[in-house]
Amino acid sequence: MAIDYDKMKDLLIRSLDGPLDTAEAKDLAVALQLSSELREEKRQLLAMRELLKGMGNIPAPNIADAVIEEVQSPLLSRQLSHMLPRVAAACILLLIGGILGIYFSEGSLSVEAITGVNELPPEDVYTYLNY
Amino acid sequence: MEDDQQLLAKARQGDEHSFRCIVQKYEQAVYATTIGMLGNTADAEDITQEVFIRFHRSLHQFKGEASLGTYLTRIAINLSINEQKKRKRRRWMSIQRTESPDLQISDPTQSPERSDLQDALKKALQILEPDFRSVLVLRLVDGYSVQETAEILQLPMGTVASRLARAQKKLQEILKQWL
Repeated sequence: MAIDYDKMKDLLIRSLDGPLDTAEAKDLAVALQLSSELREEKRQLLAMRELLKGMGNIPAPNIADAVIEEVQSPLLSRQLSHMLPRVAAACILLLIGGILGIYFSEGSLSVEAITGVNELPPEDVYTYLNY
Repeated sequence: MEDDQQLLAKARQGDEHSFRCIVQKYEQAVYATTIGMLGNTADAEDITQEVFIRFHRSLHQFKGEASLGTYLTRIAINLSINEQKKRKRRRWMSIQRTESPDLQISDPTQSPERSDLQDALKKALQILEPDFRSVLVLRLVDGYSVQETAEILQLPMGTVASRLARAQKKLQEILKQWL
């Protein structure tokens, strides 16, 4: 009797998670009797599932203290620490924008261009520098 | 021992002890989900903490339509998937085009005797697509039924069953030399 191996493997996998209908269950039982390859597949699948089940038993670290500490920290400081990188990034962007603005409008990044002194009339510059 | 509803009611009133009891009751289950989804122990620990912190912030929004365990598991799955997206972005930004070495488990020179099976399994899970991994983790690591898995992922049962079958085939293929 020829075995449709792929179909039987599908049935085998399905059988591990729920009941098959009567005809399918019978076909699978016969195929398992006849095929040592299919029996090996079953053994491997069961071993794999056992391993996966074992993963659920890896002991969890004790996180309760850390969680309680976090939820008790004041909301404002939590939000601020969460926002800090974004605020810093926005400030850097503003700074770069400002510098580029000065460069494109004044054509230079000299101290005079940045402070705006180069646009003052000479008498105002004199006053500005004296005060 | 108080049940979830009593603990929740007290936690909503600000009772720290009750919230701590909830964390202690579910940390193992949530950690099993995150370790299955993320593989990496440190990331799994961080995300497990984040699950409970998020839950604390939304204590008043939890209506109890799903069980507390199911609800926390759903948060854990979503946060784990987000964390993986972040990881991918970070990997892309650091121009690590090659696959991370710790994912390369199919080294033919590595004999099963020298490898830690659990470690190989964690790495093998990372090779699966998140959609398939989440189904496998919920059903076979956490031990939820197919129906519960479908509820947590908000998917039809048929989709869960077919993803489960494909995920097992793929994982078996990857782990063949260890089984």
